[in-house]
Amino acid sequence: MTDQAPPINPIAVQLVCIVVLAILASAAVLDFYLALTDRPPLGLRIRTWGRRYPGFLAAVALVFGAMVGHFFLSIPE
Amino acid sequence: MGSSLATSGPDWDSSRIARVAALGVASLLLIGLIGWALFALRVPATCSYSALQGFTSFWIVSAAVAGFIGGHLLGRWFEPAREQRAFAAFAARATLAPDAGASEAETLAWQTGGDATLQQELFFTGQVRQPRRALVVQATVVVLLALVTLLLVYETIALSATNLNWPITYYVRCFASSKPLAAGIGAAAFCFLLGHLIWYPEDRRD
Repeated sequence: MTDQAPPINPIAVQLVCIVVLAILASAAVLDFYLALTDRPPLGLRIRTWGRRYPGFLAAVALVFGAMVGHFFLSIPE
Repeated sequence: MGSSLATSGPDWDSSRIARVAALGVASLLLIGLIGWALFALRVPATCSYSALQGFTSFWIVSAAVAGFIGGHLLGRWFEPAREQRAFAAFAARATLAPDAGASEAETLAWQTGGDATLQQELFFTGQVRQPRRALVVQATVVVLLALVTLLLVYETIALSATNLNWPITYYVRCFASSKPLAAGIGAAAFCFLLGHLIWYPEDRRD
């Protein structure tokens, strides 16, 4: 890995921001609709699914946890 | 069959009102933030893509962990009342079914039209077959995993030659270093959703 990075691309920063927010918004709107119609929430459906595939759910949690650590955590040198 | 997943529709208690209100406000906020990112976000001409240091790193990770726990706790608060309504609706159907002298096929139809929680359990244990829905879920999972794989492939390629392309990590760090408050709120919100969805409270019947 080199130390020199190309110039910043503001559109890509914006795109990352929008993609993350869009994922969150989609899930929130879907859960809002489910709550409004008193249907089982998204979390319950994922829990039921996760009981069948616990390893899969653990892997998803591991990947997302690793991403948060990779993006924001630093170990003092 | 119509609305086979509906539970008890018109029954509005305080926890349901709070849940709908919280999700409605969250949805509006997130849609507003998308508008902000689209039209008003100004990225500085230069920003750091180095790993975050010190308090900034600590507070963003703390916010993410707090969000994850908060998402779980919210589910613990909301779920008992929803479950209670679902079982009340199920009990009403269960009382009516034998009186109607339902056949095996009718019982199956009754099961798929009954309480959503139990219906899902029946579905996932193979007692009720709904192949079309299973196919949709499977296709969604495949598409999402393919998307994640593509992003990770790009990240790997970009990290191997950062002089050519910025990896996604750099974009996130650039955003976090120039707007740490927004990054903390974003990380907390994302982990809140994860905590709410994949750490959903256990069934009280377990």
